[in-house]
Amino acid sequence: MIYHLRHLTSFRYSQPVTFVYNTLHLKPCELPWQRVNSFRLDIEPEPVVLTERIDYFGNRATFFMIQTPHTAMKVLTQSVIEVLPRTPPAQSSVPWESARQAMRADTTAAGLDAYQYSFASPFALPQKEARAYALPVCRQAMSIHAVAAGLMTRIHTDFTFDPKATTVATPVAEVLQNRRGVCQDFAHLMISCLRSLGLSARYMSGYIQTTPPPGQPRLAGADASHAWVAVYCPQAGWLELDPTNNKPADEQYITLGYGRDYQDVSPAKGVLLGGGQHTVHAQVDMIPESEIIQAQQQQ
Amino acid sequence: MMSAMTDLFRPLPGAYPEMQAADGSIRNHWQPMLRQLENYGAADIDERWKRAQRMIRENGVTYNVYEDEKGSSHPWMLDPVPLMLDPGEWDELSAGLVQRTQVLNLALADLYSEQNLLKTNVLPSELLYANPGFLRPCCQIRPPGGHYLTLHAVDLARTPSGKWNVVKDLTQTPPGAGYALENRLMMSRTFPTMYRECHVERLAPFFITLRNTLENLASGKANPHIVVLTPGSHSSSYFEQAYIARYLGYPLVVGNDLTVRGNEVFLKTLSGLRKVDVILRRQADSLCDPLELAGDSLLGIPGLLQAAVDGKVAIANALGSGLAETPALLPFFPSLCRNLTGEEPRLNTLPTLWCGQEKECQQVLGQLDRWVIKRAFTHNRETPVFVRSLAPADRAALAERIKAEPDQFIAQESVALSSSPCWQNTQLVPRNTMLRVFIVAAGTGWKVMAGGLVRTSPQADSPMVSMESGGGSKDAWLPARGAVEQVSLLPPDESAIKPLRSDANLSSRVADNLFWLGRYVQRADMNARLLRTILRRLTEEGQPYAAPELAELIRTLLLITDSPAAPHQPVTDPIRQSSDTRTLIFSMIFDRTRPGNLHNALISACKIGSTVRERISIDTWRILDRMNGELNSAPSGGDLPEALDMLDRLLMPLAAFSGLSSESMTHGYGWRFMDMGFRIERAVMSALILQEMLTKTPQLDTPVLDAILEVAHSSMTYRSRYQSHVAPLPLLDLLLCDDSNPRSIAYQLEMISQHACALSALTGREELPEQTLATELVQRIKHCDLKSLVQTNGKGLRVQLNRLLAEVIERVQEISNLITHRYLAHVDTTSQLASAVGSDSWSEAEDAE
Repeated sequence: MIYHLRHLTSFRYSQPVTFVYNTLHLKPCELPWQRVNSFRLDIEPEPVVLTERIDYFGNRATFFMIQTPHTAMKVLTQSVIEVLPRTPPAQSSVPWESARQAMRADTTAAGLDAYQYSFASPFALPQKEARAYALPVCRQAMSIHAVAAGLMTRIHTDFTFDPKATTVATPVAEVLQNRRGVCQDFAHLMISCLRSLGLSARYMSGYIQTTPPPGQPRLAGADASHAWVAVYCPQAGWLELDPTNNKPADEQYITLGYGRDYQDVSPAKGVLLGGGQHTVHAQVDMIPESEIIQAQQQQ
Repeated sequence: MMSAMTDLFRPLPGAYPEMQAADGSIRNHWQPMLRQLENYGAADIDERWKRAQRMIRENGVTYNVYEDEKGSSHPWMLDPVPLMLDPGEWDELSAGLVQRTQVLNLALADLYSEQNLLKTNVLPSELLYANPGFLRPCCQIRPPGGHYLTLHAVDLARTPSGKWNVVKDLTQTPPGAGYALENRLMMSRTFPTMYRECHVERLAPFFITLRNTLENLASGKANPHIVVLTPGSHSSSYFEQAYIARYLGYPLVVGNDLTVRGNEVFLKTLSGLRKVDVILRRQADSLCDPLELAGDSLLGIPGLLQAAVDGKVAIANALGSGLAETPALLPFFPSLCRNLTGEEPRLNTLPTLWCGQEKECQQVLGQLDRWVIKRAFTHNRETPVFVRSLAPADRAALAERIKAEPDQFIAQESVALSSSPCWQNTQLVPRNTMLRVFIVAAGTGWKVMAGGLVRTSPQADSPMVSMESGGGSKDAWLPARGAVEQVSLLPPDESAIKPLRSDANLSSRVADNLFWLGRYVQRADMNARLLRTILRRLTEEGQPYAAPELAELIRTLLLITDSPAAPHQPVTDPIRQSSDTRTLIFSMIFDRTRPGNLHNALISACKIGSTVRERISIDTWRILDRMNGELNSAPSGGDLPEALDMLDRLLMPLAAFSGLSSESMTHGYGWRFMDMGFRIERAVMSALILQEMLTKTPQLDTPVLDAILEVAHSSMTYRSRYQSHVAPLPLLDLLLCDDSNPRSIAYQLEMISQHACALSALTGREELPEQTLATELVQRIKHCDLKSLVQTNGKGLRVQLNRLLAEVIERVQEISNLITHRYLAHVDTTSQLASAVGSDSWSEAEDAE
């Protein structure tokens, strides 16, 4: 599947901003099942510094700085991404109870890399409450696949999608109590649960394609940034699950990057001087190439 | 060998005695020092010591204690008996320390890049991954020359066997070297003969090396611009940071003084931005860059990490260095050492176990009272737990905490610290002792400071040595084996220094603080004079409360302190309600919560003074300190004469402050800002007083006019000029128009005008609006028609005078605003920006394109 992706983030300030320092994680990564055919980034006003680096987790991070006073800033990415069908990792023979032991023993570069995601991170602490919530889906000697899938379904069933219920800073404990939130909250909760069981879990940042209701046209900007979870199965690899939609990640998902939690890969993180109050507005269009061709043919 | 002084001394049982050998004789390397001490004699030592303590207090050597509710700072406790270091064992100790620094430096380089230490199982990976001190973004940084550690401090304890053991490493912002220097200075001044006769190795070479190393970090740039970054005056060791900055000759800056433009770091100065090449930081890793290193803190310099990654600024110690001081790393030091250098460790580490390892955890829990329990990952303020001194219930609770989170704890063997003699009540008493030593990078290797910072326990039976817990400190003396190297921080060839007259590189923040220091000192001065005038009348014999001018004076006092005339306060007729008056006056003097009053102004002056301590002279600082001392010397519930007495004493340092600043501060931009603040405050205050006391009553009686002269400190001048009773017109001439009277409004305006003119050189522009305003105002006052000013209108008011004074106040405030905006504008507030995921594209329809 080839997608034409357009992601516009607009920031507006009540007072002029004199400086902006920003780190973006908005460039899709190369994966065995994901190719970046083209990518461009436009920032307004023009930054004085714009550098790209590979961050600690292997993501492409862009640092930029604006020195022109302004009251509105726009960050626009446009890319063409090809997503291929992927084979999920094979069932690991390691049951969930011995995962930690197995990971600890593996000091290869890949093993160490996976192991670090089993530790607490600021937005996804493996708390007692998370463990209590996760344990009912675990049975003795169950596979990590089954535990993670069970947990995904449990979260999907128990929680209501509600953009008004949380902010980017809502802690997992509160989400767990109120049973409401957005994809980011569900991902953090699921990561906390998995870590509380001794498993390694990553926060995945990217996009998901939405399908308009039958017979209705696609609405501009209706797609969204998305977040889901990857869980590590020793000797097998990472299994990507989406608790918001209760399904494994597939061709409908474009991956931007991953980290321990939101904070490591937030699409745009910045510090600004001045500005007063600000509003952020994001608009994502993720259109399959086939639809574009169809539209062109109809014209 | 010794007489009374050491004969009576008994070291602590079970501890290694620093001074005595096993047979009770005095160790050789202690003998010359003790002989000198003996020569002084107990009485002389005591006297010298009291002088030193006073000097320490006056110099403001403090250790701020964070959790102290009063926010107070403890004066530094220094003991007159130095700890003598044995030159015979020093070489081996230094070699062990250099090796230790080298190993930790290599470990940092590995953990922030390849992480071979994890891959080869030298370190358990949990030590890194569960460690908040491991800052992942710092993996991008390659510090110049591979120097993560420019400075390293090590806490050493000598066990009963006589071996030095490492208790703790400090690698993030190693504190204490400045205190060691201050101790040395104090000792050499207080006991010059003893110091000379003992041939002690100097500390200066250490700081010279530090300076050379910092300069070399700037990768070959000649005359690099180096700054010391401090978290601010609330920091526990702020004194030391300011002290080191002054000693090394680098500006002391806070995060707000620096800014990243492009990918370079700049210092905001009065004359614009100045590129910074090297930062010696005392700011913690996580507080250095809000964009990359801190979760939600806004402290620090956004973009600093990127500048370091791009190699545009060198930071010492490198960002992320705090990782090496992780307490849980201690047990792994020997294997780190073997693995990274192929050598055996030359210096012992105090036996330490990390409970994150199963076997070790069992060992700790099995014999809990053998250990001192500490946090595994942070040197936080949680004090170490000496299990032995815990009640059984607490011991069980601790065991449960360890079992719940084993990887969060380490256990260090509880050992008896060595015992050294301290001076107390004219005799030597034994105290537990720890030595902090300092290592500095030198070229490709490291050098150890020939001395150190000694800390002792507050009581003989206390196992804790720390400044927080009220212990004391000592200087450490290493007798020189050859001739003492005579060094100082001045460059050998002084002609190589270019004469520099300008202080245009002054940071805007410092200038701002000096400006407000001037304003607050003057505010205190005006308050004190007005209060004294009032108190004199209240304490006069005969009929206190009957002086006719009292009501007006009190009204004026309320006005200048901007106090609302609350209904219960005796504003109109204070004379009737004498006890209320007393209460009011006392609150105007002592109530620190009352904005604008005397106490408040003094506190503000001292607070600001402490933030620019490296910019004002020691003498000026002492004066500020004395002001506070005087204020606190009078009981707030005392009687009126006592308060009057205190005000008399307080006015001395207040007068000395302005004298000293004009005589001993170079009249650069810094001084101009301070004096500008001073003049602006005096002009406004004087105008307010004249307005309140001269324009509102038709009949101006002699007592009122006398009081005005008294407040304005101009009675003498008036009497010598006019030799008659006071009349409004000559009074107004003296206090308003006479620019030869340093208390007159004209004089203040003249000075403001001069300062504004001199400052305009910073902008390269001529005739700035504040200059025009000031010049016009001076002319207006000089040529005003005094006769018409003293005339009253039909209602008995002096409308013209009132209008003129109101104009002075308004214009001066306008000038103040213009100056503040032009040169001192505070940085905009910083805020954080984040894009949300998943929700907000549905939230609002605005901005649709």
